[in-house]
Amino acid sequence: MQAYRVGLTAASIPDPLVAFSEALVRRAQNGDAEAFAELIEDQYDRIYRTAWRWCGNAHDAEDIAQDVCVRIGQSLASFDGRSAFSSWVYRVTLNMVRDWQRAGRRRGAYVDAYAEIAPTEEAPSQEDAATSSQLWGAVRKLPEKQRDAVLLVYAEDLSHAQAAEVMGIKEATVSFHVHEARKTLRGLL
Amino acid sequence: MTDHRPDPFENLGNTPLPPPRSEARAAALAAARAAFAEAEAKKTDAVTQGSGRRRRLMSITSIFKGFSIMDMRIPVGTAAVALLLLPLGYQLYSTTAMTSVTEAPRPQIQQPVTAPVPPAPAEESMAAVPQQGTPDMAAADSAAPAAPEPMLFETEAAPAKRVATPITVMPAPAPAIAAQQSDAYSAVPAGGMANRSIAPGEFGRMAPQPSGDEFTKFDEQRLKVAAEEPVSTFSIDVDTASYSYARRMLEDGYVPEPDAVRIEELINYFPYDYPAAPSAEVPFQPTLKVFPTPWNAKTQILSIGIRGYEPPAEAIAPSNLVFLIDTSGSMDEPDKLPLLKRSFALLLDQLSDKDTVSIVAYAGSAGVVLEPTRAGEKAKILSALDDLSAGGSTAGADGIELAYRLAEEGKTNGTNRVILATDGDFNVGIDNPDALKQFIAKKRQSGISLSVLGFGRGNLDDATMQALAQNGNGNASYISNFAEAKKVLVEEVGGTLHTIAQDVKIQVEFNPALVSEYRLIGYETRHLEREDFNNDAVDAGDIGAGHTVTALYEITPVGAGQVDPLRYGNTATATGGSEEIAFLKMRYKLPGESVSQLIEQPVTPEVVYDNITLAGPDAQFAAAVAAFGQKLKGSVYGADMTWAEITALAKAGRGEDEGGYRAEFIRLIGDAALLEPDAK
Repeated sequence: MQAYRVGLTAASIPDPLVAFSEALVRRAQNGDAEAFAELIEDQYDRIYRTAWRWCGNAHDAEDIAQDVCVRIGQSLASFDGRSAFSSWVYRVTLNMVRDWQRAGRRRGAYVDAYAEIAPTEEAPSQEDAATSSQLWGAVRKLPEKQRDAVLLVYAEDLSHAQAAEVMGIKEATVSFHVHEARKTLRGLL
Repeated sequence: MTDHRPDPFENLGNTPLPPPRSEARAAALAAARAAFAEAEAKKTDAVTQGSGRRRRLMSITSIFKGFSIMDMRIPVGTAAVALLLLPLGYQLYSTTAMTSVTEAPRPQIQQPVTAPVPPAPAEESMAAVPQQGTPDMAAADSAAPAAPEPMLFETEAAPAKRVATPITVMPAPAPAIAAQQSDAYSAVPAGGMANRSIAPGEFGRMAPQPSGDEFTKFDEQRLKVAAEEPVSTFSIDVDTASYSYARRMLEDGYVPEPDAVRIEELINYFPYDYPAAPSAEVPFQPTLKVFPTPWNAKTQILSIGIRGYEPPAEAIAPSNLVFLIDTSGSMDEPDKLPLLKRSFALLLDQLSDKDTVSIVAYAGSAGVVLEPTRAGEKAKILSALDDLSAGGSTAGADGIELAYRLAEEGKTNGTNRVILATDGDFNVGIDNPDALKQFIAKKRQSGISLSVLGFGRGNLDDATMQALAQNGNGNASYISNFAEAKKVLVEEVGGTLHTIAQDVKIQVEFNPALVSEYRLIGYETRHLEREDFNNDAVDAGDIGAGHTVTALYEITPVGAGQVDPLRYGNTATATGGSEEIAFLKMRYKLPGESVSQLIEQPVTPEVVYDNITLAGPDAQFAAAVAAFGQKLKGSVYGADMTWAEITALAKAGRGEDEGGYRAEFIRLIGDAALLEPDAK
């Protein structure tokens, strides 16, 4: 029936992965614990990755990811499907990162992060590592909105529209924040 | 970008990340699952009404230990607002004719306010506590956070509880609702009122929530005093959609909304063994019976049954059928388009080579899938149907106009009919529902009628379906499964395709000397004014070959009435010196004619049976279906019949039951009994 649907309507073909996770969300919202377990398992890696990029520290990222998972479990029922589920997860994660950083836990521990990359991954050349480290440090010190916009667009590889949905702002505002970030960082980079 | 270097931000995405440690991952997942389970448990708690009451009260005390009174400002305000708004809201809701898409809070209407709640007296007194002095407490509890994240509670738990709380606490709206009900049903046949209190099972009633289907709201037929309004007029109805819908809901474990249950459609779903009419000139003759009411010892039922004439096959004029098929994305479910395709093949076998079939598909836009084709060319028709999935979306005129244009092209002297198959998307080209009705009504006058086949569940717009079919002189059927498709498209195809009488109206005049009160069961949406009966311009339902139609009146003999006679009224009613209980008049037009014919028949004492068993299985079965419908609707009439009694009556009336429909109905009573148990 797939072909038929494509033939008859102009709507874009739904991404099977997205459709699958949306089905999981609905099942979980109806109280299906197995569906929730599957759902959160799917999401964990992405949550962790996001948390890591935002705080730059594996310990914090693990803790934040766990808090995000718990928060999702508690408030899945309040997810109303107005935005994509993935956007909602981003929003929960970003809020958690902000709470976490405002609470001042383990602040300034970014430095450790770079020590941890090197052994696990193929060592980048000295110069690259330095630049990269400098860049990440600078990005993370940006004002919150600018940082979120830059990381969502460039690190998470979202479109401006998707980033706008996550941040709950207009698409043009995302572009503006990215532009501002560039201006702020021009001196540094 | 003035930057001539590569965009530094591009590198952000390429930075490798350390993978999460598996222990951390496992811990996080376990924590999430636990949180989810906890949230689910709370959600269930919030919904519970019965034993949850005790638990909620206990948590009030714990809140008083920990919180200062100041924290309760918002909940107190909310409670006050809820107390004020809820009765007001109900008032507004019930006095406007607005159809609610979301289900009205039904348990409220039926909350047995006057009757005490039967469970343990301890519970009763607990519930009474907030009622006396501190409604605030209960409300405070409803919004009180029992876990460190109040925000979440605000969104999930609180609304549910807040709705629940006023119901248990609030005394105010109850009399208002009771008053309203007695307004709407100004009286009940003798003995009916005594059993107004509703079973405690109502508390556990599964809310008829999940459907997004829409239904026209209507008030149940009220009791009428024969001396004041001796004449009752209505149009016949051969629709059966309501029964199929109710069956599907019950089989899925839901109680259908009251407005979805139209008792006449339930009764008319089943074939009855009435004697057939002798000729096409007098296409039906009434079968009259009067027998005791199974749910009320003081009243009787007057049953009027008619069966349409079945012309021999060679006398049938060729049909011209245009299928207007919804091919929107939502039809892509096993019980929709694929079911339609399978049932279509069944229909083709019923058509002769003289008949023509054409198909129009509509989704966003519409296109002709099959030009008018002889029904004999089955392969061509079926392959067109199979291709429906791939190529329906050619640009063209609006779906409905296209369908009617094809019908005009292939017009025959027999049946010309557009059959709309949809799951609720009536986006057929004319947006305005009234304009659409007018369009269909206009086409009806040119000899093209419209039938609607409803598929699926969830966004079925029953109200529109009915309105379209009624305006198009057709019938609306709801097809939930293959067996149903077989019934509608094969067994009843004669009736669907070959109209034997049009604009059939029934008028009954009761003899006030013998009948004090009467009530028509069902047909609420088919009511006609007394003067409409002889007015041939007023539209009414059509009857097809072999269709059976049954109408039941609950009548109260003189002396046993519920309504007191008027003190200053005309005490000596003119009897006319007659022994007739009532006088039945029916008007119909033969197909294509514009002047109506009249059939008259008195209801004489000869057709009165002292025992329902003597009246035959059809009478018993029809009465059982009526009782079932009334109980399912939560009607004020006949609610005291238990499911077991209804089952026994239906079993007694099963008769031959060739299609197995009555057996299925008996099974359905069992389903309903599980969902809405009787009072112990």
